[in-house]
Amino acid sequence: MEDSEVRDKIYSLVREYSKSDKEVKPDFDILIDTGLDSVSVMDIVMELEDDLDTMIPIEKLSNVRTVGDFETVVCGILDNRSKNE
Amino acid sequence: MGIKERIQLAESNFGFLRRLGRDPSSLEFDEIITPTQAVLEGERVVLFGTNNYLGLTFHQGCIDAAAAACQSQGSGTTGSRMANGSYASHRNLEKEIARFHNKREAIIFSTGYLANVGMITALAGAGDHLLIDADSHASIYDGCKMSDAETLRFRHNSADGLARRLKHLSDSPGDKFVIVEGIYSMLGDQAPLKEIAAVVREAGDKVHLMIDEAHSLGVLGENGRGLCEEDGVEVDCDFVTGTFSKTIGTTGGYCVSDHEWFDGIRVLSRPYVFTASMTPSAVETARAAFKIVGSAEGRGLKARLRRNFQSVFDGVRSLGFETGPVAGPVVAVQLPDPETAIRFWNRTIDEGLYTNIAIPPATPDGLSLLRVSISAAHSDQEIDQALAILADVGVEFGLIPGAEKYASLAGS
Repeated sequence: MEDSEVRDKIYSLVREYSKSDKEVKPDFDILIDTGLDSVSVMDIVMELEDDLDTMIPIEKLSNVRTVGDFETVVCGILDNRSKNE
Repeated sequence: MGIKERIQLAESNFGFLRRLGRDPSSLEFDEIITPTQAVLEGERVVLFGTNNYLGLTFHQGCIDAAAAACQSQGSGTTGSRMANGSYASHRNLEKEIARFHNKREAIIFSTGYLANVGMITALAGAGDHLLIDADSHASIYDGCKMSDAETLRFRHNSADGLARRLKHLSDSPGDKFVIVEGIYSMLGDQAPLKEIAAVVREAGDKVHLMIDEAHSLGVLGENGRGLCEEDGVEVDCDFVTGTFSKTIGTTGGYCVSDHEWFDGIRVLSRPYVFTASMTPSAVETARAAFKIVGSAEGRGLKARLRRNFQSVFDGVRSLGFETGPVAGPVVAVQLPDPETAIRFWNRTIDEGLYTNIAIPPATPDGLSLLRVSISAAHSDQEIDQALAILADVGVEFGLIPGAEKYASLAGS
């Protein structure tokens, strides 16, 4: 999957879980600017795991502050997987 | 974000509560009279928010055991068992809990929180995986955070979600620890343990199952051993943890297991090594309480508790409130939003009913809940009183149909 498709998926999930149509930007603080709480972020992680048929360990998210950081982590996991296949 | 900003952020959540009435984190009882009655702000309240499932906190046998232990062994152990050694009573309690659970060995911890943190951090190391239910208690999350293993969540009560994640890990050489709870503390629902145990069994001998029976000990199973007994899968549960701060009526926690290496956990578990051990009076209270749970008296209390929680569950639903899916010692009354929930909780206290308030992000699916916990010690009148207050406040808030609902329930 292309990185841009992953980004679209993340942005759409952020909008869905924050119940807002507001534009999502990569420098948004994933909690403060999006209106999500920590539980919603973890629920988005599970949605992505199912949609992308991958696994995102909680520990990989410990340094995530922005939506862009989150995207980088998810794309990194997918890249690693495709390299190992 | 600095410490001041983080405190400010955390305080702002409590500020929201304070603006709407009482702050549950700083509520102070003037007097605790019985397991079900207390004085709060100078007024008598009926307690439906204590997790005192069998009502043992005022059991004369437990109180006598605690007082005698304090007299004969002193008020505290003043150190950890690793540093200061164990008292005979620590060992006796462990043997009795192992016997109660029909498991080879038990290890006790100073709190239920530490039992989970202490077990998870000891069990799972680098290269291992922890697979936890999304609605797990904070003690499970914190244990995972402190462990060197990687943590994956699966959707609440989804055996399929667990199976998919285990399939992904099938080539990973490390151990996998699946962690679920018997009864989940917020909605009071139960794990589909038979299905989860089957998934774990099929995934091979590198996959282990741990169940936290904090809210199901003394409540579920013919002998009160929890959901693992009720569902007939005790043999599949490699590690069973529990707490003494609910059914057992004191503080402390434990884990039981059949593994022959289980004793070695003591040296790996930092919360075990570096926490002062349980006080003699807490240990003897727990010993007395386990004896009661395993006796005819305990079975009677469990039957009474089941009758009581069924009455509350049916009553709350008849009034027109949404609840969790099954009757249990925790009945979650669903309210439309956090603000209504806080106002509702305050009004029920004004009317003499004490329950727990639970709002996001501490709740699953963003639910706002009045968390009602039921005890075997509740009398029929206390249950009627609680339902009448819920009915009155529910009607006052326009959340349920008119009061005739409760009249028809009381008359039935």
